[in-house]
Amino acid sequence: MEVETNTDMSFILQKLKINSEKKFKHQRIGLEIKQSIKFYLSPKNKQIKTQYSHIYYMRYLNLAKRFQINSEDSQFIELIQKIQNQQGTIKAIGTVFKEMKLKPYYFCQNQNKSLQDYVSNEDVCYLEDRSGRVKLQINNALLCLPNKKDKIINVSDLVTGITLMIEGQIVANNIVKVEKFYLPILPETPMLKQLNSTSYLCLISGLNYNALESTTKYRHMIDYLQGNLYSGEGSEIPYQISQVIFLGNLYCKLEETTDQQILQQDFKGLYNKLQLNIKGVDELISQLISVTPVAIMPGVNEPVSQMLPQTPLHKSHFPETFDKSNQLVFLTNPTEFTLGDIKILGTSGQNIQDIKKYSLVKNQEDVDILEMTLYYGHIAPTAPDTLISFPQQDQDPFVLQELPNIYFAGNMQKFGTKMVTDNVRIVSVPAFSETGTICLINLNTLECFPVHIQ
Amino acid sequence: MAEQDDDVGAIFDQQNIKRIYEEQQRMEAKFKESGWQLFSRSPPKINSSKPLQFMQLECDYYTQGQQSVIRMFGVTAEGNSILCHVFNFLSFFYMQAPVELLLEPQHIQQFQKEFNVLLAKQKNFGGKEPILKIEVCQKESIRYYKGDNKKINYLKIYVVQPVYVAQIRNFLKSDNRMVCDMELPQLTFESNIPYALRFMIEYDIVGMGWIELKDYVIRDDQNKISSCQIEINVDCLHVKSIPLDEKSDIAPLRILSFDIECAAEKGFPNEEHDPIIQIACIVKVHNRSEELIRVVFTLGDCEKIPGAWVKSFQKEEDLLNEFQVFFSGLDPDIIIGYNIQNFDIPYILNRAHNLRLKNYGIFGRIPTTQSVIKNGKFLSKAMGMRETKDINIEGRIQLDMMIHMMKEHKLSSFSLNNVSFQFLKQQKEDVHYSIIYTLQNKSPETRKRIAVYCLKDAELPILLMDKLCCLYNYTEMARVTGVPINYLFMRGQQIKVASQLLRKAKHYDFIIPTEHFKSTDQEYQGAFVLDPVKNFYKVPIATLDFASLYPSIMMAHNMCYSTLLNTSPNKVGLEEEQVTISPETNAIFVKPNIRKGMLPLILEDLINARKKAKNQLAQETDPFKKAVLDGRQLALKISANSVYGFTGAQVGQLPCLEISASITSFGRQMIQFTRDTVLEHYSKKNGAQFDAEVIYGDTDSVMVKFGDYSVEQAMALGREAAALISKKFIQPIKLEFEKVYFPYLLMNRKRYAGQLWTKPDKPDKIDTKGIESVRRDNCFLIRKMVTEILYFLLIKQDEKSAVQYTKEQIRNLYLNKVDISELVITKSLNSKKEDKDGGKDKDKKKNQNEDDGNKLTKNYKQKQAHVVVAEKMQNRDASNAPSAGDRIAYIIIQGAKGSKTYENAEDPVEVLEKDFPIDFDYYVNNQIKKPIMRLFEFVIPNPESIFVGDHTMSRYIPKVNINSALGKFVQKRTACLNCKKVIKENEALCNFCHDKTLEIMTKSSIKLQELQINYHKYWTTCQSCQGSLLGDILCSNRDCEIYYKRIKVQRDLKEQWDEIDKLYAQQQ
Repeated sequence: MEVETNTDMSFILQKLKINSEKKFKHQRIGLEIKQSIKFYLSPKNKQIKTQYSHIYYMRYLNLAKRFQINSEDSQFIELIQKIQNQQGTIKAIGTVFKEMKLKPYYFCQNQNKSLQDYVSNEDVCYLEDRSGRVKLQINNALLCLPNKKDKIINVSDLVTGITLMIEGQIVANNIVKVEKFYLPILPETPMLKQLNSTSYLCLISGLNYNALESTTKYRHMIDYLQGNLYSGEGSEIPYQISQVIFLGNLYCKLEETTDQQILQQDFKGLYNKLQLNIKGVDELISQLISVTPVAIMPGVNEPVSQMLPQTPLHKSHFPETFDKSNQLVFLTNPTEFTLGDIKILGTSGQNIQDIKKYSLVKNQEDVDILEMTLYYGHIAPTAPDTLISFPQQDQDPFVLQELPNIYFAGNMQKFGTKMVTDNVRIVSVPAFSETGTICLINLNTLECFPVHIQ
Repeated sequence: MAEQDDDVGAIFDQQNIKRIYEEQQRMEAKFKESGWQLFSRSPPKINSSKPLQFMQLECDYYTQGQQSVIRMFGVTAEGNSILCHVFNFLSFFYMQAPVELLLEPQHIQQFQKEFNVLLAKQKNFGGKEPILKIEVCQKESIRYYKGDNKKINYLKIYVVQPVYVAQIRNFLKSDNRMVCDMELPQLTFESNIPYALRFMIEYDIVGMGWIELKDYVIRDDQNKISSCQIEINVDCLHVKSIPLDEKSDIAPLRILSFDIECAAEKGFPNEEHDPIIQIACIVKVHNRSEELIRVVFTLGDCEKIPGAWVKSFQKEEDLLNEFQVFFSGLDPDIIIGYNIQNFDIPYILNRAHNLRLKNYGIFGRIPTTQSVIKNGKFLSKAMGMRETKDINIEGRIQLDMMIHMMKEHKLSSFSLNNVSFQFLKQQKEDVHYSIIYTLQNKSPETRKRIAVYCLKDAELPILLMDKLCCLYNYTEMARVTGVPINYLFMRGQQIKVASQLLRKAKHYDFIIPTEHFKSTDQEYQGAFVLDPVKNFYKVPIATLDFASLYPSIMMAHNMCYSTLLNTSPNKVGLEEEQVTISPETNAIFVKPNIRKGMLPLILEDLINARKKAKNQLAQETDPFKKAVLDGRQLALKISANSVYGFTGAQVGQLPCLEISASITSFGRQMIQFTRDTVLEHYSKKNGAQFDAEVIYGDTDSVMVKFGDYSVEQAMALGREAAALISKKFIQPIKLEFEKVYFPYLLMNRKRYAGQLWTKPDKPDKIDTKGIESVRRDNCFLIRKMVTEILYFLLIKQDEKSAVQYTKEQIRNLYLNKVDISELVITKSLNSKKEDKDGGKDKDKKKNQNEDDGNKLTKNYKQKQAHVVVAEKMQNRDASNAPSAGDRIAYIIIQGAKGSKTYENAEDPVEVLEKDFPIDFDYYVNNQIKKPIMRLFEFVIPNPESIFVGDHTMSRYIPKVNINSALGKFVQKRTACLNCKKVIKENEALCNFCHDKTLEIMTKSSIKLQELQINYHKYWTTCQSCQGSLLGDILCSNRDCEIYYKRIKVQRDLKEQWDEIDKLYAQQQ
């Protein structure tokens, strides 16, 4: 067990070293988690009579007012339906709808199921508001980013559900050739209050615990977090962790089959396996809960509601842990909460994975996509189109109302981190089962680094 | 036969010219005022010193004073509309010259004079002399071979006006027909040909063909009689047809597709009081991918629609007027739509009439002629004879896609939803007409919803037309058979063959008698069917087919009117070997070396042309040209096959039972010969490994079981047998080997299924005939099961799994695990009266409806299930009640003991919402059993066994519905979610099950996840189908399976979620 020493890391380690010289106390700061109610579904909400269109409508209403518009700008068109009376350059706000040839469609039986993503050259984007749709012609259009680094984008970069302002030429009846895309203005930069002492937030995603395979790496992880494993540079860090969060996919995926019929028929066999995994994870957490506060988010593999926002796991899944302590906190997915005074927002990764499936951003790092969702002002644009989500009536919970201090996504392929603006740290947390990586964030400085456990 | 009588041209009065000009000017001004001139045709550029070419669209005639003028509407290659007036073409017919008549000119003149005097006395002619001139010519009647070169003298009688032809013909039926003391023959020749067609035949012009004019005069605007851009006067001598090998493309025709929406407060819209609220039009130019314009005219303000022009009006009158201005200004060549002929156009015209609009209904190209509705008939493939409405729209082609679909395709439902799903793979949002009324009266935004929907309905016919290559196919059919394109919509098959026969006969100096036929009951034996040896064959079955059986028989044996003998051969100087005698019917035909028949010549032309087209098709890469060629080869094939029908049609133009009966007798003989040869040649006696068996034969094919060979060996044998037998027939009869079935399930005549192989390495597909899987009144479950079972039997060749699958499905059905949309049965509601007292009709249907089981048919005078459901719906919500023509969907639910099935039919939506228990026994015994038993009859020894046993024992026990009648007697108590034991209120599990909480919760969650995934799938599919993210889904398309699934999953998900919440709550 060692801390990887690449260039970034050594820099951080040096800093840590200085810290550790000053103070070496195995004392953790207790910080309280306060969840926002935004991602909780009220029982009244579960009537499920609402259609998905309301989410799009609320999204449009919310985001449309966040664009910078000069009231005297004659090029700006309030409603898309009015475009046909215009000529020349126009600007308009709307939600992107991408029509995709390869996207699985209910009525097409012969789907190529092996496809990894559904992007093709024949995809077409539309911009829609409550008045109608206009077809977009996009050929190396410019996307204006808040950091002034404009980016060239094409149809394959966009996904359904993003709300943007376009600037372009009307080239034919109801077709606009887009020259520029504008993003909604970012919310205000958040404050960051200093804590009295050094404290870390630990993010772990994708245990994918499988009782039938070796579980040594999980033991090592627990050992590390308990502070038992490591006695070199930075060995004091585990003691400074004030919160561990598991970002979904605690249990491994049970069957590759998606045929629910089979899943139900063979429930007994399935449950026997799952039961072992549930028990195994419970054991791990129960060991951890005695040394550090733990919070848990659900993910795709958990046996709970799959619609975003996902409802929290339940204490029946953790009988042993609850025997020891009732400190375990269950979070929604996505989750938004304050840890002390620090604002935290994150998901178990479905939002980013879905964007990757429906756009050509493969050569981009996970963390870049994560960053883009902040710029879009929306953390899960493909919901509800391709990302299964709950049909809400009065809000689109995924609209980014304020910037968090920390924004993360779990179950990613690679670790990555960035400061988006002052006091805003984003991090893509890779699946632990694949990479043996956990992430630590210093809550005072927002410095973030991975720890590899072998 | 009555065609000549109908062939009355429009009468044109010179006085009208001024009015037409003013009318035209007025319309154009209005058109400009509305701002549409952007979309009008580009102005014509004609160099009158050069020949003018155009593609002919429609050909008819009008009379102006004494003169009959042919008028041809067309479009130039530049896309300009043109009307061509052809002068000086005289109508004529033939008559055998009386033997006493001397043929010197003076005698002929005398004859003509006296004939005219006689005719002028008749009241039909009112003193006028109808005959203009008489020529003597040498011709021969096409009927019967009378010996070599037996041409005799005929009189070619030219008349002043086309109508006189029929009148003289009718006159000759009378007894008083002495001219110059000579008795005139009763029989006339070619006296029943429409004038315009006569003209086209004389000048070799074909429908949709290109025409070149020389020495023409262009009319100036003041002298035009139409709204066409160009009008031309030309003498008939300067009209020349351009052969198709020189120019075969299609002019850039303008196609206008439209759809109207009406708002009715109650029931189906009625033109007396329910207004037209929207008309959507899409205009496209043929062969251009993008649309020219899409417009929607709305009553009441409507929000704008991107990509479409929205014009709103406060008064319906203004809306209708603007539509007419738009329509005539855009000047479409083809008008298409879905059910426009029987609904949209009549509705518009009747509505205008009810609103007392003046000068309305100018949809044709003659600004003074209003379109009016006449009743007509057409023959539908699926529904037999149908009443229809004919509307005259001069110079434009009307193509109602609904009528096209009914004529050409056999579908169970012809709703636009179903048709577009079948052919375009697009589900269409369906807004019920009761919702339209509500939407119309709400706000501009809701009216926009209607408009979007209306536009979609205008777009789909265009997509259908393109997809099915209608324009290409009709064009090619018109060109091949030579008739104007509108004959293809308005008239039957006969005129097409007649047109070809006349053209061919003219070339060989034959003339065709105009005979009068009474329909006779004389029948002749049809095609031959070798009785099927029903079984499930697990060895390859080779299929030997006669290619184009009837046409090739006609060609091989030179069968024609002109080669048939009505006397013994020696009387016309022929030896026995110079004739062919047909089997059974003993008709005698002259061999081709003596005289080639007209029908074989026509067929040769058609078949050679088809070969050529197919060769070109194989080489062509351009998709547009490919479509033209494919349309052409198809038209040629259909034309070749309809020649046989022409000779057999008893009330046809020229029936000849000797020919048609002989054709089928040859066919029967050939099938038998093929069977005998195969049996003889492929027998152990003759050294074959196995004795071959012929297991089935129908019309033009024979199924052979050679023995226990591999597919490859069976193919080789099939090819060998085909070649062997072909040699024994006269050219061009050819027995072809194309495919092998393996395995092959032969259930009955015209009812079989098999895996089809054309290459030995891998099978092509499953091929079925006469299997339930397509009939719409069966529920989807049967269709699904039949398909699956065939998959197991034919592809997997695993009988056990097939049985197991069937049992599993039956078990699922009993356990209520089958999706409700799979159980929906639909039937279309005829007019209500018909259904109530139509006992007689149903008597006939009784035998066909066996599947519906005893309950329904035993008492057929009782109501039918779908009628009962319609009544129930009417009682629940009159505004939402179905009307005649609607398809009613229903589900059979459990009823009281002894109740009739029809009483237990219920609206699926109601079943879903109220959670009515489904009558699974009905589905198993009355829906599934028969077709499934039939499949297994030869597969397993005792197919009954599938329907008995453990899997039929466990049944789903429905929850008692608190709102139902029974529910009032039930006390609601809380039960353990797992074991159903009664527990305290607000608890989820009993004490015993409490220990298993995690397991129960997990199980519940997995079910929840499944429902969530389905919920998301169904609702997002509908969201994208309706074409907007921000709008609510309104669709109530009952032909679409998702419609039910969507509602069901909503309820199921809610229930499941409640259960989980309850579990969670208990554990807190």
